[in-house]
Order: sequence, then C-alpha cells, then structure tokens
Amino acid sequence: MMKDITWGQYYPVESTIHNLDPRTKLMGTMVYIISLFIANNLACYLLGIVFLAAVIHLSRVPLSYITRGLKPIAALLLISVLFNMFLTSGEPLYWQWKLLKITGTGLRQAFYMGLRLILLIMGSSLMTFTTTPTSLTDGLEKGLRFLNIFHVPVQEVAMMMSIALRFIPILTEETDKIQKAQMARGADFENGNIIARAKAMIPLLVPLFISAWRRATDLAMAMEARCYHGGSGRTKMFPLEYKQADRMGYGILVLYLIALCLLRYLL
Amino acid sequence: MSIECRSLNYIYGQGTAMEVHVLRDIDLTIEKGEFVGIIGHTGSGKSTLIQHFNGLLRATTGQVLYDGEDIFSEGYDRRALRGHVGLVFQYPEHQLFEAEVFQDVCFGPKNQGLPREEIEKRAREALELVGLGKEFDTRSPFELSGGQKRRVAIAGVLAMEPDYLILDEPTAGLDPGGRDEILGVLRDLHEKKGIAVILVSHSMEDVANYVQRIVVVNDGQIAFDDTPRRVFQHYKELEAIGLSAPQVTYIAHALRERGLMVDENVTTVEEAKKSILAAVRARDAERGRTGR
Amino acid sequence: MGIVKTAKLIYEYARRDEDNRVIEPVRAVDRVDLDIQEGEFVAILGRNGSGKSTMAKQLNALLYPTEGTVWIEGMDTTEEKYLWDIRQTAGMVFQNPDNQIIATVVEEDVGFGPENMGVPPKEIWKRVDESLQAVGMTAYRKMSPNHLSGGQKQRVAIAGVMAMKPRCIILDEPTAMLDPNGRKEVIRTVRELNREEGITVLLITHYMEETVEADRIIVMDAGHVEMTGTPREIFSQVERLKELKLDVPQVTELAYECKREGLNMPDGILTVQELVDALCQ
Repeated sequence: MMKDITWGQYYPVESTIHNLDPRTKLMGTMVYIISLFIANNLACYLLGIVFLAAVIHLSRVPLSYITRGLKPIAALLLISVLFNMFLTSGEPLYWQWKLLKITGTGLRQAFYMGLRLILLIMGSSLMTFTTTPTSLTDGLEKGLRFLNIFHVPVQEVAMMMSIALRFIPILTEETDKIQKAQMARGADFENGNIIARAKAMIPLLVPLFISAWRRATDLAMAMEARCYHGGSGRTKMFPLEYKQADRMGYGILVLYLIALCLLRYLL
Repeated sequence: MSIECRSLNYIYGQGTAMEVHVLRDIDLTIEKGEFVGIIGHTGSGKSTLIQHFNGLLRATTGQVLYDGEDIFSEGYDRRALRGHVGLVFQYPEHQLFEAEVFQDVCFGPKNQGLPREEIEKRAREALELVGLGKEFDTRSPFELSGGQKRRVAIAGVLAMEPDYLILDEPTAGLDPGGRDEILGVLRDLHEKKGIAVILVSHSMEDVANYVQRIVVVNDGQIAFDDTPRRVFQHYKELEAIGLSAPQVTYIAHALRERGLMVDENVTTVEEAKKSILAAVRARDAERGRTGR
Repeated sequence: MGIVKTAKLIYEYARRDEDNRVIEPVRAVDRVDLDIQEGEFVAILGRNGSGKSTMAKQLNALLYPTEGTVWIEGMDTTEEKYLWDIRQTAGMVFQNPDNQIIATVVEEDVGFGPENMGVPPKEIWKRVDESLQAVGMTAYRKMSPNHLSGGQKQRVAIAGVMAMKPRCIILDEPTAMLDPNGRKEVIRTVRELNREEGITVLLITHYMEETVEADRIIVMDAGHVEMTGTPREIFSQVERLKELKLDVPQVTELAYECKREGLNMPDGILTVQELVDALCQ
C-alpha cells in the first residue's frame, strides 16, 4: 500500500505556473529564496508575501494543500521563533529572567524569522507542486548541461535520478513485504538492544538487496532492448524551449528583485 | 481448535484521503485439519484477510480468535501464534536470505528459541516433507529453480511445526510441472501430517482438484463458502465477479443443454469423464431400445 | 527468408564454482532452426528451464549465438552495425512488468524508445498517441505506472515497444506474473496487434491456454525444438505433452480420455463447442 506515496507531491492541474519551463521555475525559486534573505523590513516582507500570493493564485494549487507542507516543520519553526524571542539582546527590554529575556529587537527578529521560514517552505514546495519530477530532472539536466565540459555525465545522472524516483515506492513496498514474510517466521524487528536489532536487519536487507540487484539487471536489459545507449543522440519528448511566458517570468523576477532591493536600501 | 474471524473489518489508511474499506464484516471459521481454498481476484482482499490470521495485520473492528482467544488482546503472544499459524508469502525471494538452504530453514525454529538439536531436527524434517533431500542442504537457495525455491520457503515455515499452513499464491509463475509438485506436497502435508492447509489463489482449476472447501472473496466480502461442487454451481455469478469455474463445469452445462444428462456438478476431468461415459452409455442403450 | 530466422542456433554458457572456475559448459539452446514469416502469430511453449527465454534474448541481440546464426529481417545479429535496427525491428517485452517501465508517467515511458532512437519530439508524441490507442491505455496516459494493475503495466510495456514501430514483437513470458484477468488482457491485446496491425508475434509462455489461438506452436524442451505444428496438431498429442510436463486444456484432455475409453471422437479437440458437438451427434 506504500505505492500511494507520491514522490514530489505533484499537484496535477493546468496552470500558467505548471506550464512554465522547469528552468524558469528553478531559477525563480532560487531568486525567491535569496530575496527572503535580502529582506530586512516590513515593506520587503509584504512585497515577498504579495509576490508569493500572486504566484500561488496563478498556480491554481489550493492554499490548504500548500500549508499542509508546513506541518512537518512546525516544531522547527516554533523552536527558531522561540530562540529568537527569548535569547536576542536589544532594546527595549520588556522582561528578563536569568538568561531569558524578551526585547523589542527579539520580538521583531522572531517575527521575521518565522515569516521567512514559512515563505521559504511555501515558495520552494510550490515548485514541487507544479513540476513533475521528470520535468524537474529535465530542467536540471538542461540547466546544468554546461558541466559536460568538465566531463560530468549530466544526462546519465539525470536518468539515474528519474529511475530512482520510479523505484523508491516499489522498493518501499517490497521492504514492507519482506518484513512481513520474516515476521511470519518469528523474526522480531522491534525488541532487543542495538546489536540484536542490527542483527535482525540481516534477514530484511539480504532479500531487499538481492531484489534490487535483480531489478537493476532486468531494467538495464529492458533499456537496452529499447535502444538506450547513453545520453548522446537522444531526443526529448519535452524539448525545453523558453516561451513567451518564460521570458515574462524572468522579467518579473528581475523587477521583483530590483523592487525588493529598493525597499531594503531606501526605507 | 480453530481460527475464527468475527465481524472483521479492515480499513486501510483510515482518516486519510486514501481510505479504503478492504474487508467488510468477515465471519469465517477454519477448523484444524481442513484443506481450504480462498479464491478471489487481485484486490479482492484475500491477501489482506490471511494476514489477520497470524496477527500481521490488525483488524480495524471485529475480532480474530485463535482457539477461542482474541489474538489482539493485551499481552497475547503474537510471535508464538506465528509458530502455530504459518504463513508463506507469494514470492520465496522475499524470505530467503541465508547462504545455504539448511541454514535458511533453521531461521524460524531459531526465532522460537528452541535448543540447537531440536532446530536442526526440525529443519531436516521440514526439508524432507517438501521433498528436498540432504544434497540440497548446502546449496545456495538463490541458485535453485522457481519450484525448489518455493519448497525451501515452505520448509522454512514448516520447520516451526505449525498447525495451520497458509500459502499466498504458492503456484504463481510456476510451470505446470512445478505447480503439480507444490500442490502434491501440500496434499501430502494435509493427509499425512494432518496440517490444516489454507491455499490462497485466483485459479479455480488449480484448487478444485485438491481442496475440500472453497471460500470466495469478492470486494472484501465472502461471496461463497462451500464445497467446490456447490460453489461451482454458481459459475455464472463467479463469472460476474471476474472468476471462472473449471472448464469441465462449462462442458457439463453445455452437454446438458444439448440433452446429454451428465452430472452438472463435476469439478475435475476424472469426474467429468466418468459422468460422460455413464451418460453416453445410458443414451446409447436408450436409443437401442427405442430402435433409433 | 522469414522475418525471424535462425540456423543451427546454439547457446552455451559456463557454469562456474565458487572460485569462478568453469565446472562445465551448459547448453541452453541446442541447434534450433526457426523460420517465422511476417504476420505470423507463433507461440513457443516450454517448461521453465527449457531454453525458451534464452532463445528469445538471442532474437533481440541481447545475447549472441555460441554457434549458428540469427537473422532478423535478413540482418545477422552478430554484426554490430545492425544492432539498433534489429532492436527496432524486433521489439521485446519482458516478464516482470515493474522492471521494464522506466518513467514515472505512462506516456513518458511509451516515449522512451523513440527518444533513444532520436525521433523528433512531434513524431514521438504522434507515436505515443497511436501506441497507447493500439493497446487501449489512452485513458491512463497521465498516470503513474505504480497505480496500474499488472495487466495494464504489461500493456504499457507493449505500447513502449509499439512506439518504436517494430515489425515483430517478442514477448518473453509476459503473463507469468499476472493473474488470470491480467493474462487474458495481455493476450487479447497481442492478438489484436497481430490481426489489425499485422505485427508478427512471437509469444513465449508456459501457459497452454494462451497458445490455443496461435497460427503455430513450437514446443521446446532441454534447449531444442521438440514439436512444431498447429495448435490442433500439438494438442492432439496429450501423452507427449504430459511427458514434457506441459498442460493441455481441460476440454482436450477430457476428449482424449473419453476417446481412450472407446467413445468415437476426433483428435485434438480444442473448444467446449467441439466436444459438445462430437458427443451430441
């Protein structure tokens, strides 16, 4: 049943953002992350929020779907906010007990820190919501193609990434099955000290490794049978070409960055 | 002595978007010494059902009783239960891990905490039961044929000396020779050792020759639970749920439609032959009398 | 010369001991002569270890003959310049549906072959559309293969081969890991491709019921061809098939048994209708 895990959590709808070139989205995400570290006042953050809100609106991914991604990091978020709140020195001092204190600077920092983290997570997860893993790999492949000059096999690495994406759910499911098969023979994966538990992993790992090996050889043969012979001479179903929307996207990114810098240095 | 399911429900991923009601209100009792076939197509819930018998899965509601005791009650030793209710999964590759056949078969009894002589005695016996002689002891399980691997996997569970042996699709992927071998081993275990055998399969023809009782699972519910003869009478309903009766059932019904009065409840080629011969001879005698 | 032809094909591999020393050579394929005509539907039937899969891999240049020759459309498989042409002409579908699907989305997987062949993108999409249509999987094109049934996955794999525009498809036990419904689904698809698109089909299997509608059956055992003929010719030899540890359809076996008991019955009955007709004259 583990096959229900969808990797990259792609949210399948048609939208302006979905249709952008993955390279544009990769670049956009990078710019956005950088912008969050440039931001240092309320106006900057407001601009950041407005920008993200606009992109989310264009992407047609429901806000609830995106905020759900915040749940796993809620604890981290809380800790960093609390740290900033209680441990930052500055003016004016509102409250103090031994090392702990609440200051105006601290409150402001905690607020910005929390906001920054939330925007960071939402912004970068939006990319995985609007880009299929394959398209993302394609984007990385083409975006990093220049590394070929340094003999980095970019295409092959990209192929490995996409195969990994396909097989992670399969192997996860398989692990579950092996575990059950061994438990049916009385194996115990839960009790005992660390050495006993490590030993208990052997009956799980050996079949898993053999299976993975076998799948790899099968897959290699199947790829050969379908004429795979490395990255050279391949064409792509989705040839990456910048379109009007991508040029506009880059334009907007530049404008956003300039506006943000102005807000930072002028206010 | 029995395995008993009482209004068993199993809901996968309860409370999530992927919620599936896999098993619905299953009431089923399997007595010691039975030879049962559990039939259903892929996704019918049959594999989920058998994983409740030895406590690998926990019922969402309802109970599973082993010899009258609720296996999910506080403090119930489910690891010990797995020694009594042996479960062999579909792919032997999922359980074989030792470098030698004999060592692999020892894994189960070793987990039961038995003394060494007892472990080895049981492993030897289990291998004999599935028809693998001493010459296989030191072979690597990974170099065996599909049918042999399957037999080592069965021995690995048999060595725990279970009262019930459940097998999930034990013949899947085997050729006819390998299939007959495995089913023959299971028949012997049932007849000679009195072990209750529960065979999970999607093939009616395979099980019709062997089992005494067929439980048909469809869409998480028990559709039929009876002797093979009685279950195959419902061949039209079986077809509607994506299963089919053995070909001989269809032959018998087709013959009756054309006026040859064979027994419509035959389930094997042997039975069909006897019934056809009797019917043809009766008809010929009749034709002789009436002078046609 | 047929589209697939072999002459005195022999394949041997060496069995080695733990120290990698050769113990003995094993002859997996033993002097096989095949000649398969364009448009034929040929089934190769044999038990596990009969050498049928090893032979299939020779036909796709995944393995090379130890002795003898394999020609695909007249191209000798040992000549390297033909390698990609051979693999395009004679596409191959394997046993395990999971281990031959490369992409995470159905349509992208179907396009994998043409991508490797350097087909222009527009043409790839055309082929993907046509191939998915041909195997009846168009409705699933955007789905992840992990959410498909075994039979559906095999149809995707077949579409992936079809997108390479082959003249011949070799299916190496495509149904061994499927349930009965999945098996029927795959066989139906293959038969349609044979009838409607004129694709030559070479189906390797150990399930006799899948071979009943083939034009010709080749029975292999211990690496060599044991029997060859139409399904009727093959299945009339019930004893022989049983010796080779193969099944016959229940109806064929029943007819054979009745005939042995003295009933008047033609040889090689293959369908329920034929048996009923023979008994109720």
